[in-house]
Amino acid sequence: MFKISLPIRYLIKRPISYLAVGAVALCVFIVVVVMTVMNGLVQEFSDLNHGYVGDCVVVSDSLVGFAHYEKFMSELQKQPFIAAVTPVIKTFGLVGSDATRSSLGLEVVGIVPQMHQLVTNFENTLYYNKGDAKDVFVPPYDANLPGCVTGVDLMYRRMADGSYNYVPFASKLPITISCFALTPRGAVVQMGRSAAINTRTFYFCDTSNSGLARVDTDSIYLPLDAVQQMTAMSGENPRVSALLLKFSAGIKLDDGVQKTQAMWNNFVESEGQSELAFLFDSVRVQSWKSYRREVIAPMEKEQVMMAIAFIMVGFITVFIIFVIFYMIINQKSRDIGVLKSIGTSAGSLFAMFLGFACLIGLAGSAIGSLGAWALLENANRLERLLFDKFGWQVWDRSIYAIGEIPSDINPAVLSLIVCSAVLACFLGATVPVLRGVRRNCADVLRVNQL
Amino acid sequence: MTKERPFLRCDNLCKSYRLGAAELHVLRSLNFSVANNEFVAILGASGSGKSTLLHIIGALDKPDSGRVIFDGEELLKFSGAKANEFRNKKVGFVFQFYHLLNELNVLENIMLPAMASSSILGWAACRGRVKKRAFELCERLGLADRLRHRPYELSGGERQRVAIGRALMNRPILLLADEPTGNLDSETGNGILDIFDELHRSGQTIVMVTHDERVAQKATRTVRLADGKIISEKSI
Ligand SMILES: Nc1ncnc2c1ncn2[C@@H]1O[C@H](COP(=O)(O)OP(=O)(O)O)[C@@H](O)[C@H]1O
Ligand SMILES: [Mg+2]
Repeated sequence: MFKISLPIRYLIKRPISYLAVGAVALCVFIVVVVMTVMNGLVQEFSDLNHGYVGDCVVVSDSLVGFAHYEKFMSELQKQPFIAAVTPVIKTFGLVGSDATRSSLGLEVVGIVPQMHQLVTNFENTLYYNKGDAKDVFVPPYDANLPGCVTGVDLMYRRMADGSYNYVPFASKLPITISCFALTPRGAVVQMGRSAAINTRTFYFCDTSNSGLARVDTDSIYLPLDAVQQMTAMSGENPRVSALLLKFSAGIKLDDGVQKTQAMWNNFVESEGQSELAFLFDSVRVQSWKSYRREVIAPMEKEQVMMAIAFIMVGFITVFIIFVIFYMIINQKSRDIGVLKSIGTSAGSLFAMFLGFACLIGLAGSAIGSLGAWALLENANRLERLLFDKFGWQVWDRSIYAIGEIPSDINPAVLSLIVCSAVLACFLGATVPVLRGVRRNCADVLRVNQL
Repeated sequence: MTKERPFLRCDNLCKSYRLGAAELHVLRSLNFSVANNEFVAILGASGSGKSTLLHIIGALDKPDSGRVIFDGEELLKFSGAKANEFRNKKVGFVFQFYHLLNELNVLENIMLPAMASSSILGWAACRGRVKKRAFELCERLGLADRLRHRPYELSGGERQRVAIGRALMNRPILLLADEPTGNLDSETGNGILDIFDELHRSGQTIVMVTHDERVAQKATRTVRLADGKIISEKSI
């Protein structure tokens, strides 16, 4: 009986037990909060990248792209595992505006909006055309003018709270865009004696807010055919830089990529005689993950670093708990002697003290998890409050691509952390208890008599 | 009285402690026996090995050699579980410094031996009986109005009475007391000795250790421990 009542009394009556509970709670709290935020950031970031790219890409490393894409697209579209395919050109452009008299080197992205939105999340990144990108290149003030979509950070200021100061535009806003026309061999197309640099004027119609900082500050979207003409990728054998693919529901990413790769290999073989077949050499088939690897990997690496840092915190926790238990049980070695002198078995003593350790672990974990949950639930509200009341911004939304502080606690991660904490208490208690139980109780009881 | 069959007998007990290179022989082939219903006082100077002997009799310590026969059984051959049962049921220990658990109140300290030997389910069954017994003991030891107090809220004499209550909880055959009055003033000490006297009258066998001649006089038999042996016996 006192196997239960005594541990509870120990827990309640000794201040040091509260310290132990506090230590466990703090460690659990910190680890849960950091893991949740880090996991959330990585997850959200990778979701944004997924939405930007689609499931799979057939992409050329070369600026000149590859030809015969339409034939391969129609082959893909016949496949049940493919839900949608869209062609894309990515190239460099010089972008100037009369209004700002500025000139920027940007990434020009040629897309077919009604197809692009079937593969990517493009339609939801728009502001004026949110939800449907079909008419995104049609300026509202004059349907006959050629339109363009800019990355949101090119056009509007990002406010401290992460929103944009969208100003309604009534008049037309011309933007001049120049592209380099390259031959399939990669030479700049010559027109007469000078190299051809094709310049055209487009009219601003919308912005795209993908949530990816690099994309939103660097990209300008134009209709695919316009870009093809400006880069000399149109004509008899039109070229593109990439095909973006969306797989049907239920298709595993790796399976889909493998099937696409196999189809691509067959396609390259069947088109081997083509004049532009050499362009296929620089084409790769990749999943969105490996395609965006260079941007996602650093973040994942940070997460791994964090995990390692917090495993160290975990070790410190185990050590602190070990020290606390060592002290408690050393203080209590006389009690252990007394309990032994009245015939308590070593097993019961173990059950009692390890039960005590367990209680501390559970109480600490419960408090720590609750605290973490409370903080995360209110993190965004709290952060906004601090900003509104004191102008103090913890989470600068004008810098971070991701607007909200992630707050969804992963139950698997949480239970792992709690189990580790309880285990730490167990381990921390085992050694000193073992030592206490093994000591000769005659010696322990004689101590006070010296 | 000593003609009665002894129910505790120590044969040739030897115990020595190693202190660096030197060896301290505390008990040297000691022989000692106690009969039923006796109240024996072991007298000896401080450091003569009285506590060591008492610990061996109470199965809290082991001698280097020799035998302890208790109630016809050889104590030193007990298994761990049997030794636990022996400490729990057969003997009760009273220490000079009480050794109560501070986290428990008077009643719980007294009930402790009964708690220790029962499983959780068993406890539910015997709880009422144990509590009644603890109340009785408190009544008898003059602790009736102290049931919910913590040991540190009690005087030395009261603490020692709680310790006696704990020792008596499981109705031990043998009560072992190690300088039970050593930490008390003489008046309070006399009160404790009166309790022992009364217990002895009601049939309790007691072995008490002391360095105080006057305390030893309360016993029915006094033995003297010196040089690791019992050197003289005198019966009252
Ligand atoms: N664990 C030990 N290690 C070394 N010496 C000890 C130990 N325990 C007791 N002693 C020594 O044994 C002698 C007898 O001790 P003890 O039985 O407590 O004497 P008493 O109770 O008669 O005062 C003392 O000299 C004491 O210092
Ligand atoms: Mg002593």
